[in-house]
Amino acid sequence: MTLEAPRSSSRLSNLPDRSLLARIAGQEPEALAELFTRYGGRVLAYVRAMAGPSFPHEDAVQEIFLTLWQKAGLYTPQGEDAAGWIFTITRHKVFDIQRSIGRVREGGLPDPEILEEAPGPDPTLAPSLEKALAMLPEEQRAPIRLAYYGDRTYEETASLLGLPLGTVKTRIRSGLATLRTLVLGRGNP
Amino acid sequence: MNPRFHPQDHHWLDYAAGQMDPASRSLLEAHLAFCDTCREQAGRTVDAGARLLAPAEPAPDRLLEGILARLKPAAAPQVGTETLPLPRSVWSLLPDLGGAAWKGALTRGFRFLEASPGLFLIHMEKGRPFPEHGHRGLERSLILAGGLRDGREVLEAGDFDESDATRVHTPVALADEDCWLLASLDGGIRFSGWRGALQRLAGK
Repeated sequence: MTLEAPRSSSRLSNLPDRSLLARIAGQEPEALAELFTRYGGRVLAYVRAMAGPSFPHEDAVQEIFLTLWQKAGLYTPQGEDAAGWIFTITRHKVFDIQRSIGRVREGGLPDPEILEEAPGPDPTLAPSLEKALAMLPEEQRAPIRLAYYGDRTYEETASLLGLPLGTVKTRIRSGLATLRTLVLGRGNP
Repeated sequence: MNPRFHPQDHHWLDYAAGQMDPASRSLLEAHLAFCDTCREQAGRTVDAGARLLAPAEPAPDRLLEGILARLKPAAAPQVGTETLPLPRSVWSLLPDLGGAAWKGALTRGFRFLEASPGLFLIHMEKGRPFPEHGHRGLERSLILAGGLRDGREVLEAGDFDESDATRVHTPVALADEDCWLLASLDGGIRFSGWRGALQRLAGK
């Protein structure tokens, strides 16, 4: 069976993300097209920023939206939109593709400063998140930047910071919990 | 009925942070298919990441065309010519099993296949035991259909369980229905060396 390939329609453009996801879970291709219209550009920008130049960005975006098609029924948005879930699926897919193409980091880990060298404004970091990160104690901020936003494993983060793995995990969890409260407490930027 | 045994907060944080191996991630997603409570919990956890998707230029139309051309309707998972009797809510969560093969011939009433690296689909006939085993690392499991008794606990569809290396146990499928479950064995690419446990049980 082949599903038709419709374009996003104005009929759906006023629906909140939650309703759109319900329609995607009900296998309506138009709803996925509308979701792509809303988020495709942001997902592509995020994949580019996260994965670096030698990465199949556009293939990844297609895989991400196919995954959203399969998993739409699993997600219950708590806020106004589905961006958080889409971001999570995006991160998973980038990691999976990186694993599958056998990316190996050898010869020492990059210096943490490299995270600060992105040219111009970082398209993936919204101002409210930067502010919330800045409010965390340094001992939590550093591992979160590396592990959560810097594409490092927990093990790599512990090695970079010279800390035991368990300590790093504890600080990340505490920091993320605080961050969640700070960001969600402020509403949309 | 909602499951009784759930992943914990730290599991959802690991999930949201992308720090969970793909096999365990599959288990958590399968749990969501059964659990309204955790769908809300997972939603709260991932919503913090929403702020990372800042406005950007639209993506090229050709990407959408490629996506729509590849959409497939959900279908019951199949291994060879056998259609697996799994609930519809988890059909799309399992990887393509077309190339997978059952193993486990040494123990009657018990078989398994490796659905993806480190992720095992296990079928226990009703009333049959899972071979006794211990863990060298972390084992997580999620019941897809039927149920099993593990010591004093009974786990049923949607229930999540995590065992560490200290536990040796012999779960038994409940008497009235075959049990289907997913298990992740600290497998995957980053944790290689663990997924041999099930193969060794099968004498491979």
